[in-house]
Amino acid sequence: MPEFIPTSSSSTSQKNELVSSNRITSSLSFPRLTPVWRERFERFTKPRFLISAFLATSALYCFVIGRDRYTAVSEFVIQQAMPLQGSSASVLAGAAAAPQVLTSLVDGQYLQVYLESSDVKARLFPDGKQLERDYRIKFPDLWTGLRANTSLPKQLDFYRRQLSAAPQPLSGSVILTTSGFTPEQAFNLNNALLKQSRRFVNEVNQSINADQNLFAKKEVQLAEINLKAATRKLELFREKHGNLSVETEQATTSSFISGLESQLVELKVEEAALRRQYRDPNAPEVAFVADQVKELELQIRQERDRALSKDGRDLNALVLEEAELISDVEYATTNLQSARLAADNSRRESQRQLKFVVVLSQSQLPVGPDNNWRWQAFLASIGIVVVAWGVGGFLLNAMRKS
Amino acid sequence: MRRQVAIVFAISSYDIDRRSTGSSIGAWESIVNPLQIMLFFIGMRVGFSLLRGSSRYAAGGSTDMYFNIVVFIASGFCIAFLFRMVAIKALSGLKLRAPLYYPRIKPLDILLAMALNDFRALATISLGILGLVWCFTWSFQLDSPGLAISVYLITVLMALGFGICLVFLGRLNKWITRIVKRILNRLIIFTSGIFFATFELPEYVRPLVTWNPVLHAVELFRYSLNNQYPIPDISLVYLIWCSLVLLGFSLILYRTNESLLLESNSE
Repeated sequence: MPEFIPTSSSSTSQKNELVSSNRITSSLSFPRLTPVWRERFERFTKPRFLISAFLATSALYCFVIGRDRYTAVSEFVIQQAMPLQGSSASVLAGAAAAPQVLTSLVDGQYLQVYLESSDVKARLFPDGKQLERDYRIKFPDLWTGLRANTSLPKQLDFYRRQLSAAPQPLSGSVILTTSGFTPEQAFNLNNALLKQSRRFVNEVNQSINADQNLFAKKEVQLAEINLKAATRKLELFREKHGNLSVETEQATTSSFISGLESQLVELKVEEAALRRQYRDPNAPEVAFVADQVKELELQIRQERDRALSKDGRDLNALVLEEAELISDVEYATTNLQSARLAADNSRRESQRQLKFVVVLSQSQLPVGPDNNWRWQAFLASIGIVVVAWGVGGFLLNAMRKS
Repeated sequence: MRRQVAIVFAISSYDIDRRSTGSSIGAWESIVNPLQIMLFFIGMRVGFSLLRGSSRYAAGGSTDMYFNIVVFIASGFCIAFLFRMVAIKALSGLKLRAPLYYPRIKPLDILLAMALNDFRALATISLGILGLVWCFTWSFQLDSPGLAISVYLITVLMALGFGICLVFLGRLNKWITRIVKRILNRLIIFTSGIFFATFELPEYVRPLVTWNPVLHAVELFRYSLNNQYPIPDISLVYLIWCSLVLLGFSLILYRTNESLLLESNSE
């Protein structure tokens, strides 16, 4: 029966393989071994045997020796009480006008980092020895678990491997998966992490709001103090100058001088008329009116000097000074109104932007072990063999041929 | 069975020899060509990312939240191009341009041998690129190795099934073959998720691409690398069913029409 005749290259390669395998086995064999043992040893060093042994060991560990792992899953979303209207989007970030899902996603990502932090680990497992006892290695699985006297980074690494917080970009929810060697371990860890999530969201959110409110209140107090100071300055000014308002005083003086001037005009008209009636300009009737005019002119000049000169009341300078003080008071009043409005808004916004951890799916106490890891690990060992054979074979072949 | 496996390996070795003798870079040619295309794709994707800007928190998030861009493309490429290469070669006909008409060599053996070579070449490229990226970024992540290898092997089976079906199609008419080849090329490149992630697409666009089982394989492979990667409308069951149906149908087709391929091969 004619068998398949390999090509020259394939026959050469087979010969090479034979030669190389002989070389390996001869190098590994000991001269003192009897031929029976040598034969057995050679059988054990064949690739087929090694691969089978590897897969059998993997299967033995994955399906027999490996400890049961239990998984608890919960899902929650970080939700605001009311939809956003272009104000602060995240608990921590200041992005504006982000949709609610993205806000929750961003918060979920912060939460993911927080839950895996050493801070949370220290809160949940303040005693490292207790963590080691809870997750200690148990016979026959000597590979899984936490050894005694492990360092803190190793404990943190182990703790991180027991949980997975996955923010979902499409829904904005966070899926929290915890695992443990007993159902209670997984369940309790999940519940504890949910509590930590609530604490994180509330604490951060409320502390930011409290800071904002405190700032707004301080601003109101500052504005009130400023207003009081400005008002006091104005009062002192008015008390010092003995009037209620310099401006009114100036207006009164102006109208008084205007009245005198109109009276002067009338007297001058009367004097002119008398001068036309009497030939003697020194007639008593004319002189009487002329004296009145002179007196009135003197009176007007004196009144004006008293109102404007620096030695007098200097009403112009006082008016300017008073106007400045009044504008200070007005500015402080407006400032106070704005500060009160801002404080009120801040209080209202802080209540509106309160965030809550809304649990969509509470974790349940696992009733059976999660076998996913067993299949994953076993298939991974098959994958190692397949990839090593595929890639290694290709590379060796290519190197040999080139 | 063992003899048939030996024949497949021998044809595989023969094919590598034949290609290496016809090329100046020898046996490395089978990885250089796909590598060129992959690097081109990576360049394109990086270019688009730069043009689009850093919209990490755009609607639905972005792929760079989960993957390095090179890992993202390489993971899509190694699955989609495995399928493409097997399909295109099957469509071009199972001829090795050599007197290989031995009674023991079946057309299926030739297809299996070529698929084996493609699998080895693409696996080498992918492993090399992933290894390089992991070395540079120093972050190794393979959350579900079992799922990864399962998806890879299921894709190989699906590609084989699809390839056998195309072998028969390729015999009809050379113009039909050309048209099918072009359509297939474009469909695989644009709907298999090499450049995009399903969750980035709007919900009403997803049905236009989720019919493609290769997309499911690509997305599941990415999910196996990072379990936080969202895969809406992606199903492992759909992928398994598609593979089984294609492989089953193709084997029945092959069993009943093997003689047609033998005639074709002897021409």
